[in-house]
Amino acid sequence: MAAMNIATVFLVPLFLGYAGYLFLLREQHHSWPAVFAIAFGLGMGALTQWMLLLSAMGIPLSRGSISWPLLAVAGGLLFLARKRKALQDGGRDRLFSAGRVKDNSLTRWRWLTVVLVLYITFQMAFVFWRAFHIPIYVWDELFVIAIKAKVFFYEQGLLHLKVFDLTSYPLHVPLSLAWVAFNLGHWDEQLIKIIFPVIYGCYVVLHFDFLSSYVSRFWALAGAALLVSANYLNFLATIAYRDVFLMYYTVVALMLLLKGNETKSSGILTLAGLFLGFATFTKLEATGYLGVMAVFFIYLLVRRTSGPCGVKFGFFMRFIIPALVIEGFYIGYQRFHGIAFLQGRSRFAFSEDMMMRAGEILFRFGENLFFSGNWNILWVLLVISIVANRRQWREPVVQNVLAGLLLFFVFLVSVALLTTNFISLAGEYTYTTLSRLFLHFFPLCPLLIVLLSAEPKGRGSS
Amino acid sequence: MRGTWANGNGSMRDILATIIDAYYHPNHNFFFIPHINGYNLHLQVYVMIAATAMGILLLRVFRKGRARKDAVSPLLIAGWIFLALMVGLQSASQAFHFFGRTIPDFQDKNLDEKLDVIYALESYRFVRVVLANVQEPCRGDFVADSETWGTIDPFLIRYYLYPVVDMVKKEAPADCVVVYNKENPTAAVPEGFEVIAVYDAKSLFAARRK
Repeated sequence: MAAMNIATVFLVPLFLGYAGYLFLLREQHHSWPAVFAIAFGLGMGALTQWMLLLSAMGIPLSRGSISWPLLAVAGGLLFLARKRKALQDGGRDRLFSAGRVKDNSLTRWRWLTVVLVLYITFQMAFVFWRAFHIPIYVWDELFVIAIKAKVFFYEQGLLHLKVFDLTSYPLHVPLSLAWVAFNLGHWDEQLIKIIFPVIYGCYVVLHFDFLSSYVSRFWALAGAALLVSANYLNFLATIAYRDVFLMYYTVVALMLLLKGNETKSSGILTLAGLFLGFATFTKLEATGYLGVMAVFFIYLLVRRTSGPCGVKFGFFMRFIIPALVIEGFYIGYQRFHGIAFLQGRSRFAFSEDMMMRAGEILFRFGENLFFSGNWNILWVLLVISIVANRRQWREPVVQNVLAGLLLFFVFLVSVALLTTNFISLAGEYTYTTLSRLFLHFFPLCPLLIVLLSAEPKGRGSS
Repeated sequence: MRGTWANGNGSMRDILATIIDAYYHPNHNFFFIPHINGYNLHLQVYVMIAATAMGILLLRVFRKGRARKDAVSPLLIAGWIFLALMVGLQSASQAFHFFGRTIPDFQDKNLDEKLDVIYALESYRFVRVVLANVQEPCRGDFVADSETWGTIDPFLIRYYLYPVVDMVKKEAPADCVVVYNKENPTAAVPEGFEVIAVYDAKSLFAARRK
């Protein structure tokens, strides 16, 4: 019975996400593991939106009230997708992964492949074991995340949201934890964290899948190994913090944007918009990332020379509207309940000392990226890769991912320079805040290292 | 000394233990790199990358007469070599702590035993005493000395006592009070309440008299 309860934690969002995926994309663009990895994130995002809506309507949250309507919606979406002949298998245009292109790189580098697979497996086992065996204990879990989830579970809703500290924080993760508890039928300090290693695993799969559409599978595997070599990511995947979820939604949205732009698929762009919207429901920072991604997509559209402006505008709307609707829904919910959006946590604060601040900010950023134990030596390897692989600079995907990464840094530096958040971003005791902010787009670093180091598909060895 | 290889006598084994212990800090959410001889360990790795790259470049120049333009950059080769070394060290550190410490500490233990390992804190022991003595669920107030408010203790107590002692909702008047780490705790017990459990000289749990 317990196993069945745990299974439903995943089956409902997976089914919903898969139906939504087929409805939007009309056909299966990804390998099966990647489809699961996207469907789970999509389903969880939709599920917590539904929980928020139920609470807004005053309907008590329970496993039944959450899952039955969602299963009906998923069934409807599958029916519509089937009606549009979405499930045809012939002539798939694979989105991320290599599809059926022959790739013998894994057998050519057999021993290195074995080492990489063992290393990734060890890290995954570490994350899953720790998450399942170590209970809730870290500051933010007790202070703001798990406590909210526990109250939502016992109160069957968000009735008492205003009594919490940091009321304005988005609720995707607390509601996800409550969803786990509704399925288990009780609050379990261990099993409640089950979703964190799973979302970590989903991201690793998508990281590999995305890379394998540009480089050989061996290099894609190396990219996944680089990703899991970051201690900080592995640690955060074992505790109930919101940052791994935000990393998943933000970076997958960026990957989907790139692919949607390449394939001119409006369905993929809508999916990217939904992921970005779910990111805004995960942490407040993602509201800023929404601006970053909007600028990034405008950059992609401007770079694309073909196509009339009207079509490009249409693509932009396909992406931005879902994100704004999700963000707007939560802001509306907050306003209705008299909760300020940022609660004064960030204000514009231009000062004449800005240039002094700039030096301090760069010092703190550099210290964290290059001299902490969070990221291995990956950021230095990225700098070396950029300098040493100038030949790869002309690859559009390299240019685009690098542009995305720079935009994130520009955003963070701007926030530190121009707002009251300077203290938390570049103050003396900024380690945790800054590390968590970098984590949200950190996967772009190993992505770029591999894209810069490996021969692109079709140019050289596969 | 459990959880480290170091034996404290400044031997080569000690240096190795310092480096290996540097990369995994169980139960912490950020990671500092130690300094060896006053220099950050990563800085020393970067210097070694640069030195190795110079060595590779010189080797190429001596062997070929000049460096080939199409060859992979020596800096890149050195970077990947040291990354592999670092991953090896970090994995060794992680595996050492994981198999040697984390698994024995947490496998087949109940929640109380696990939290004792993580915190070894009085606050969770206090929670257990309150939970063992509370007679019925109640709406509670939390009272503590000002220095306690800056620690994790109030949040840990609030989290683990909920829902039996609800210190989240504030609408209704309290029918119990949790006094933790406060001088003269009985003075914080309101009129009409009785002390149900005393944890130590500074902490107790009281409830409204029936």
